[in-house]
Amino acid sequence: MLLLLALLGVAMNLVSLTPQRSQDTMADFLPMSTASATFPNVQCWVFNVEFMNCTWDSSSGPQSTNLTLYYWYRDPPKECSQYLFAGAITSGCWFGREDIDIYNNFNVELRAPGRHFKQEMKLQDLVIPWAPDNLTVYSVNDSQLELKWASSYKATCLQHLVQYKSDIDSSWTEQYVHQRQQFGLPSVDEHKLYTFRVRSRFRPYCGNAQQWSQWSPVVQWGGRRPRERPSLPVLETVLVPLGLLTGFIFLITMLTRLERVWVVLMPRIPSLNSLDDLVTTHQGNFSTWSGVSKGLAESLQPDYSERLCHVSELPQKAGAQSEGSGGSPCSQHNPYWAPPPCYSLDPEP
Amino acid sequence: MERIVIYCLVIIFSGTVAPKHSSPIRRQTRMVQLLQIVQQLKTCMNDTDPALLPTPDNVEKHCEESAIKCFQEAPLTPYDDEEKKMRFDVLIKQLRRKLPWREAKKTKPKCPSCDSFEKKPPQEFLDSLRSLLQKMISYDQHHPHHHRCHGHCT
Repeated sequence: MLLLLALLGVAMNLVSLTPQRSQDTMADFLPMSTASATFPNVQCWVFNVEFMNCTWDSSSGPQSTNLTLYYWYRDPPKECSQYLFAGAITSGCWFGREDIDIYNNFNVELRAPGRHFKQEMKLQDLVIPWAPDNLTVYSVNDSQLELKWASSYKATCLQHLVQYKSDIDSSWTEQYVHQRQQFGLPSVDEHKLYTFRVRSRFRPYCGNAQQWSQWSPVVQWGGRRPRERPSLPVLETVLVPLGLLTGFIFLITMLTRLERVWVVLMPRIPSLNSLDDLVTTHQGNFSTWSGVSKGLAESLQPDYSERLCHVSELPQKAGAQSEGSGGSPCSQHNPYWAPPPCYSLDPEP
Repeated sequence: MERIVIYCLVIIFSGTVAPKHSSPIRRQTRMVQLLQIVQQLKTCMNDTDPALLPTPDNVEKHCEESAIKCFQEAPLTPYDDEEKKMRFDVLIKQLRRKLPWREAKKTKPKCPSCDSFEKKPPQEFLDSLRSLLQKMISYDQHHPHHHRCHGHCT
C-alpha cells in the first residue's frame, strides 16, 4: 500500500514536473506578456493622411513567428486586414484612409499565442506629407526671386524647409517657411545658377511630427551668360586701364609743366617756423612768403591777362657772321635763340 | 436727443454683429496662441509634483468647448522657483482667458464632466491639450484661408 502511494507520489511529481518544464521552455522561447521588452516595437507612419504603415522588425529576437496585429481607437480591437510580409512571416500592417483618425489615440497590439504587447500613439505626430511639387521660380524684379510650390495637404498644417545655393556655393542655405507656399530671395545675380529644393513636415499647428517629407525635385534659375561677354573683357582689361593710364600720364605732364595747375591742385604749405618772416621780410605778403612766385601770384588773379612775349629777329650783323661761317639757315638761329621768359620777373632789363 | 438714441442703437447693433464676422480668424489666432502657451508651460510645470490632473482625451467634436473649459480650469501647479512661478502665472492667466466660440449654442450638448476624465501627470495633461488644439486648428483651417491675404492686397 505504502509502495503504491509512493509510486503514485512519484508519478504525480513527474506529471506536475513535466508541464512545468514545458512551460519554462515555452517561457524561454515565447516570453509572457509582462516581458514585453522582447516584443518588437511597432513603428507607424501616416503618409499624407492617405494611408498608414505600421511595421515591426520581424527578424529580431526570438519571436520569429507570425505575430498578429490588433488596433483600435475607442471601439473594440480589430485585426489588421492587410498584413505586410517579410518572407513568410508578418512584419507590418497597411491601413487605408478609413482606418486613420490622427486626432484620437491610436492603440496597437501585437499578439502571439499566450501573450500580447500594447502600444499607444498619437498619429498626428507621425504624419509624413508628400514632397512638395510643381516648384516654380521667377524673378519679381531685377534682383529678387520668388519660389512657389504646391503641397498635397492643408497649407496651415505644414512647415517647409527651403534650401538653395548658387553654383559658386558649396553648401545649402536653409530657410524655414510656415504655412505659406512661397519664398522670396532678394539680391540675386542672374549670372549665377541658383538651385532650389523644398521639403515639408506636419508641424507645428496640426501636429508635432519630426519626420520630414522627401525633398522636392530641384528647380534652377539664372546662369545667364551675357551675349556681349567676349567684347566685355576687351573693354575691361585693355581699354579701361589704357584710358586710366593715359589720363594719369596727362595729369602728371600737366602738373610738372604748369606750375599754376600744380599750385591749384597741391597748394604749398609754408613752414610755420619762419612765421616771423611773413611780417619782417615779406611785409605781410602771404603769397611771396609761402613761396609762390610773383608772376604766378598775378596769374591767379581773376582779372589776369597774360603778358605777351615779344619774339623778334636777331640783328642783321649776327646773321652775316654766321653766314660767313657757312652754316645752314636752320642752324643759324639755334645757338642764339632763347625762349622768352614769360614768367620772369624782369623781362626787359 | 434723437441723434444720441440713433448713435446708441448703431453702436449696440454693431456690437452684436462685429464678433460674428471676425470670429473665425480670432478663434484661429487664439488657438494658435494657446498652442504656444502650452509649449511654454511645458518648460515651467513641476514634473515632480505627484498631483494628477483630470485630462480630457479623445474628445468628441461637439464636446470640444467643454473639454477646453476643463483644461482651463484644471489646478496646475508651478515650480517652487520664484522666476519660473512668475512666468507660470502670466501663462496661466493667458490660458484661462475665454475663447471666442463659433456660435452660442442654444441647447448645450451632453458632455462628460471635468472630474470624470482620467487623471494624468501634468506633462501628459499638456500633451492632450496640445493635441486637442491642433485638432481644432486643423478642422477650422478652411476659414482663415478664405480671409487671409498674403500681403499683396494691402
